[in-house]
This record gives sequence, C-alpha cells and structure tokens, in this order.
Amino acid sequence: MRKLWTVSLAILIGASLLAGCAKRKNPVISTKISGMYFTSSSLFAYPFNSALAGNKLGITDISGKTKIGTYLPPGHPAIQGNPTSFQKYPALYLLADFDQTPELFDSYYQLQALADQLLTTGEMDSLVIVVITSDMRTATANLGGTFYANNFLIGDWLTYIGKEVIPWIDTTYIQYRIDPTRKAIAGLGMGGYGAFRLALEYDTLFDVVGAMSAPLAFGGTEPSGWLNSFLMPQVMNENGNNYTGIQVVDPFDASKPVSSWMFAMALGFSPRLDTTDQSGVTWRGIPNTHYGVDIPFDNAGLVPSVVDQWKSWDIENLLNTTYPNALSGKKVYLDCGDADDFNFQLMNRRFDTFLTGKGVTHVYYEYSGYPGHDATHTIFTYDRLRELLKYISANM
Amino acid sequence: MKKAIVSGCAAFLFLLPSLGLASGILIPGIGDKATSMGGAFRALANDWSAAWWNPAGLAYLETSEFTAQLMTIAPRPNFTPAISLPGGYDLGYRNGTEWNPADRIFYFPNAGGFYKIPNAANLKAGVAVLFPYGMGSRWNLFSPLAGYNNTVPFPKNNHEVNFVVVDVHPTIAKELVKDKLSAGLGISIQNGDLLYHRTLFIPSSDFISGGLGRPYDNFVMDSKTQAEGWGWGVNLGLLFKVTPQVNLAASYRTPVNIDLHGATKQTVYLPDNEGLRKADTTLIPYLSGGLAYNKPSLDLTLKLPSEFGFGIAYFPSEKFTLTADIAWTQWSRFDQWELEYRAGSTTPLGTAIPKMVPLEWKDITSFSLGVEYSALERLKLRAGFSNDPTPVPDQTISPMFMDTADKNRLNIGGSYAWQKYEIGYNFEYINVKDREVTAFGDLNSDGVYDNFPGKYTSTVYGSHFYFTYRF
Repeated sequence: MRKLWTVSLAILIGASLLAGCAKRKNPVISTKISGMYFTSSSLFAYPFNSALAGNKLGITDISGKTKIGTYLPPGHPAIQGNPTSFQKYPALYLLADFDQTPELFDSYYQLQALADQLLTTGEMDSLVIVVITSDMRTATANLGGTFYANNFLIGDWLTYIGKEVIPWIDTTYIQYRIDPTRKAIAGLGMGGYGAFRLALEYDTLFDVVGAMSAPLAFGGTEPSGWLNSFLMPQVMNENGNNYTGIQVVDPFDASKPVSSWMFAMALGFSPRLDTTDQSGVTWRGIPNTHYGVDIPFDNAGLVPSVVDQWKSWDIENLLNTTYPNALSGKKVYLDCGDADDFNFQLMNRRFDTFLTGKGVTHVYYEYSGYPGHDATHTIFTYDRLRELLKYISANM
Repeated sequence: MKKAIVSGCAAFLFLLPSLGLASGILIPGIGDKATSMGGAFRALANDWSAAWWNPAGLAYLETSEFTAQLMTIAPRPNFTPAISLPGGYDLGYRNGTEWNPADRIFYFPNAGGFYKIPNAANLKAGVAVLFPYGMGSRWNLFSPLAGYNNTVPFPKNNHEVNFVVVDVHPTIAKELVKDKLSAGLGISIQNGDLLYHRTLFIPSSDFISGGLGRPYDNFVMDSKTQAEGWGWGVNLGLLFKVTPQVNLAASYRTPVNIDLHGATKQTVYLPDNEGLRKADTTLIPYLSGGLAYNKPSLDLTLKLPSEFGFGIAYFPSEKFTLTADIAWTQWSRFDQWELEYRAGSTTPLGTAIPKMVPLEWKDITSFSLGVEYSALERLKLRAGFSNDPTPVPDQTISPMFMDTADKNRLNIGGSYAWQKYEIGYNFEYINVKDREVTAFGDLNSDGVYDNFPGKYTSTVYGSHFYFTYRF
C-alpha cells in the first residue's frame, strides 16, 4: 500500500513539474524586404521633350527627370542585376498633389516604406510605381501646380503623361518590365484629379483609377456646388472680402491655401489666351510674366463664362458629355477626409452619388480623424495610400 | 536544529537573485498546505503560513517549527493586440497576431520560524518572510510604423512590468480561552520594487505648431520607471473553536502604502526625414534621427489593499477536514499610480510629462474550498478550489499586469511527516478565463491610452515545495 502511494505521488509530482516548463515561441516577424525609390537615375534616361516644350512659364526641366520618381519592387531585375529575367510587373502611375515633387511625395507619405511593408506582409503583389508631378519649381512663376491640363502657358501635361511618359515606360519594359496590360492610375488631390482626367482621355490605358482627396465635381454654378458654396466665399474670406485685392499667389501661400489652389486651377482651366487682353474684372496677371488667368467669380458671384471654361475640365461634366463610357469596366477608388481643408469631401460625395447614378462600380471611403487630429487634406494620406495600394493590387 | 536553520537561511539567500520575476498581483501560494486547500485555510491555520492567513492559528502550534518553502510559478499568457487609434489608425502594435511574453518560471522562496515561548502558556512568536505580491511579464508588442525611420533600433522588450513585494512579518499569537479562542497579530514590513516599462506617444502637435501628418503624428517614447521603497501594515485574526468539529475564523489585513522613490528613463526615438527637414528647417531638431532622453526623479505611493476574510473548518472524522473561506479584497485602492515628478520635469521634447497611470481596479470577493485527508498515519493529501474574480476593468487592462480575467484555481498536494521533519508538495493549475476587450481608453484624457485592447488567454501552473523542521 505504502509503495503504491509513493509511486503515485512520484508520478504526480513528476507530471506536474513538467507542466509549464515548455517555452513557447512567438510568430516569426517577417524580415523586411526593400525595393528602391529614385527620382532621377542613370538607370533610365528620360527622352521626353515635346509636349512640354514651348511652355510660356519657362518650365525648364522638360526632360522629366525631376518630375518622375520610380519605385521598383525587391527582386526587380533592374536592381537585382538579373537582366535575363523576363518577369513583367503591373504598374501604378501615381500623380502627386499640388506643390509637390516626387521626392516630397515619398518623404511626406512614405511611399517606399509602405510599399516595402505591404510586400513584406504579402498584402500587395509586386508593383512598379511611377510617381509623376506637374511641379512648377523650375518655372518663372510657380503657382504650385498645373492640374495636369493642356494649354499654351504650362505646356501639354495631359499629352506629356498620356502620350509620352506612359507609352515610353510601357514599351521600355526591358528596363522597367511593365506589363502593358496591367496598369493603374491614381493620385492625391490635384493628382487624383489628373488621374481621372487621364483615365478619361486615354481610356484604354488603365484597368484601375483612383483618387485620394481630389476635386472631381466642381458643381458648376449650382448654389450647393463647390465653386459657389466653398471656393468663392473662402477665397473672399482669405483676402479680407476685398475682391480687387485677390491677386495671384506665387508661390503657394500657407495663409491663403484656398486662393493658392484656385490660381493653380485657373492656370490649368482658364488661362487668358489673348496675352494682350487684360480686360474684365476676373483677369489676374501672373507676376513676372505677360500672362494672366481668369478667376471664376466676381463681386456679384460666379461668372458663367469662366465657370464654363472650368466645367470643360470638370470630371463629372466630362463623364456626362464627352466621355460617357470612359470608366466602364474599370475599378474605381475614391476617398476623402471628412474635414478636408478644401472641402473636397463635398465634391467627393457628389461624385460618389453621380457614379452610383451612372452605374459605375466604385468604392468611396470618407474617413474621420481621431481626437486632436482632424481628417484634413493630407494628414492621413499615409494610411490612405496603404489602402489605395492594397486596392490596386487586389484589382489588377 | 541550528544546522537546519542555517541550511534553510542559506537556501533562502541563494534564491534571492530570482526575486522580481513575479506573476499575478497577489501571488498564489503562500504556504503549501494553505494553497493546496485552495486558500481555504483561515479556520485551520495550523502551520507557519498562518502568519499571513490568520495569525491566531499560530497559537495552536504544538511545537516550535521552521519552514522553508519554494514556490515556482509558470504563467503562460497570450495576447492578441487590437490596439489602434480611434478610426482604426495603426500605432505600431503587432495587431491581429497572438503573442506571448518571454516564458519564464518564477521562483519565490518563503520561510517562517515560530517559537513556542517557554513558561508562557500558548504564546507563540516568530517571523515569516513572504512574497505576497508580485507581477511580471516582458513583451515585444510594438515597433514604430513603417516609414517612421528611427535611426536607433527600438527596444525589442518594450512592454514590461516587474513588481515584487517582500514582507518581513514578525507575528505573535496567544490562546485567549483554552481550547476555544485565540488571537494573533502580525506586522508587515514591506519592501516594494517596481519596474514599469512601456511605449508612450508624444503628439507632434505638442511641440510643432499644427503637428505633422502620419506617421509622425506621434513621436515614439520608450518610458522605463524604476522605483523602490518601504511600507508597513498590520494583520490580525481570531480563531474560535466552536465545537471539537467546527472552527470559525476571521482575519483582517490593513492597507499598506509603500512609498517608492526612483526615476523614469524617457527615451524618444526620433525619426529621420531629410525631405521634410529640407522643406521646413524648423523641423531639423525633430527629424534628424537619433535619441532624445532624460531621467527625471519621481516618488510614487503604491497603495496595497486591505482584506477581510472569514473561514470555517469542519472535522467530520479524524481523517477528514473540510474548509471554506470567503475573502473581500479592497483592490479599489489600486485606483491609480500618481507619478510625482520633481518640479520642471518634462519629456525630452519639452512637453508635459504623463503623471498618472489610471488603474481603477475594483474590490473583489473570492471564495475557496479545501479538503484534507489523512491517507496514512504520516501522509496527508489535500485538494482545493478557489474562484478569484479579476479586479481589472476593461478600461485599464494590460497584458503586463498578468491578471487579465476571472480565475478558477485547482490545487492538489500532500505532505509526509516523520520524526521532526515534514516535506510537502502542491501542484496548482489556474485557469484564466478568456477575455476580449475592444474599447480603447484614455480615462484621464492625458493623451496616454490606459488599456491594451485585444484578446487575452492565459493558463498558470505552479509547483510548490516545503520542508518543515519541528523542535
């Protein structure tokens, strides 16, 4: 009996001592893999020189070197030194915001870090990302942006990107290894506008189109439209309600952000074609040049003739008129903060409703901030860019 | 006898370097016999650990005795973080994956010697050295966001608590009415040692006008508070032998304030962003990488709880003892840690230093059941169960504090006695209920979040040994 007790106790103690002795391992934290982001490089020689040539504002860098940044994913033959590989990569053309260079786009929103992380975690497939901007830092007058428009003052940005940059990158796939059948275009703010404008103009180029916090539906002269309900009163407010005091902002003025945006839009949408004509109250001269633009309102309210010029560049209007089927079959992504500095959420809500009515399949995320951090124009771009990249990767 | 005492003390000192590896707030396991009966011991209280459970029981010790006990505790918690800012914005926690801390086995040596004073009828006095409170865990839960670009690697062990209280416990007990009533009184002289280590976030809007966009909306700071100090309290108890078959007991432990003195080492891991520096030269001090650190001194009063306990013991036969206890613990004293920094203390970036760690714990009532069976003349077997609710609310839950949910504790053990010696063993299994917390909280609105939302699961194993010498 005693022996039985002793053996039983020994077994019990032995078993209990073993319990809890094992040491567990935590999940392996993925080793970060790194791609490469560069804004000018001897890797590629940019041959562009026609569409922007002859611009009147003296944008000197028409080669595109400072206007194009490129992210190549890890393993890409160009950084891996494996020229015999013929793997092709889908491409995202990403257009930068007002007053931004591709270099700043990466600095501000950590494009490379996000892409590396998404690739490391498997949330995104390998993707070549080409960042393009309509930066005007080398121009005589720097109004911060051109809205990727075509006109004699700024050069033909729409053509430059749609007919020069993208086809060249597509066909130079021996270096870039782009799969020409898998392309997306997207952008932030002004770049989001440009992405949609390019997707309309060159509707066979892209499978996915996206815009983060972008002005996509101006609303014409409607009372509730963005021009009437926001732009006009806000610009007046920034200028002490003194209409004649509204002057071209050059360069971007943080104390007059909406005015700065308005002049960049005017530069793209309503340049005064006759350089000798300075008539009318809406004309505003561009400092250090002989040129000018028209702003879309006067003391009495919106000016229909100028608004019509803007309307001819308005994405909603273009989808209703010139390019009714340009988004058919495309994946469409939209987002905007609910406290956007420029009230672009107003336009995005309108555009969301418009696309729904038109039967265009799309997603729209209107996001909020957190206490002390309102969802303004770019404060959460880092997070939205991550979501955009995931969306694009999942839909190409 | 002297040899045995010296050996016991030597063993105790040998184990001291293991201190500070505690788990759980109230360490389960003081006294093997008590623990193996689920803590339902107040109305029995017939060994050295009565100094903690109910000092009145010491009056009925038949001899003088010395006991050394070794508790080994192996907590095996898991935590799946779901820690994001409102709106779902990532902070850098490793969300969505189940993690465990560095698994360790913690060792706590307890000991006590009580002396039957000659010529003083049923008067016992002695001292116990206990480890009543402790917690400890070390986690790798955080890394700065992608693109934050800190140039100095962030610590891998970034969330950690080590807190241990050692209680030197002189105790005296006397039988007041022969074979009916005894009373005991103990004094707790407690030394506390705290390490509290976590990641804090300094909003960039606190030191840069308008703040910076993500991922620089918050700068990352590693905060490590270390402090040590003393406090004291009293415990007392009564043991009433109602009939030869029934004992009743009541015990009370006063609250204890341990005044800790130490410092917080604050290290800000600065991001490196050349592009933003070039765009705005005022950002150069903040966006050039490297570290910014300081180490302000602080005082902190750790408020440990009072406790009322009541117990009953029933002896249906010579071989069986059945016990039941209920205890109320005033954990609401653990309402917050007020970090009293010297005047002028700031974070390394010159912003206001967080001065409060809200805890908001709740009072709890626990109950326990125990049974002892004399299997052989010298062999006793014991088993116990206890239910121990968690005092920790959702708003301040943390994987570092280990006590994450209500617990059911099962114990089984036994002892063998021969001549003047006795050895014993107890195995403890603590089942901690699963818990999921979704709400993210900042109770005092100081910008420091006070809880760690996510899924918590845990199991704890304990093995306790003791050796007693009677003389």
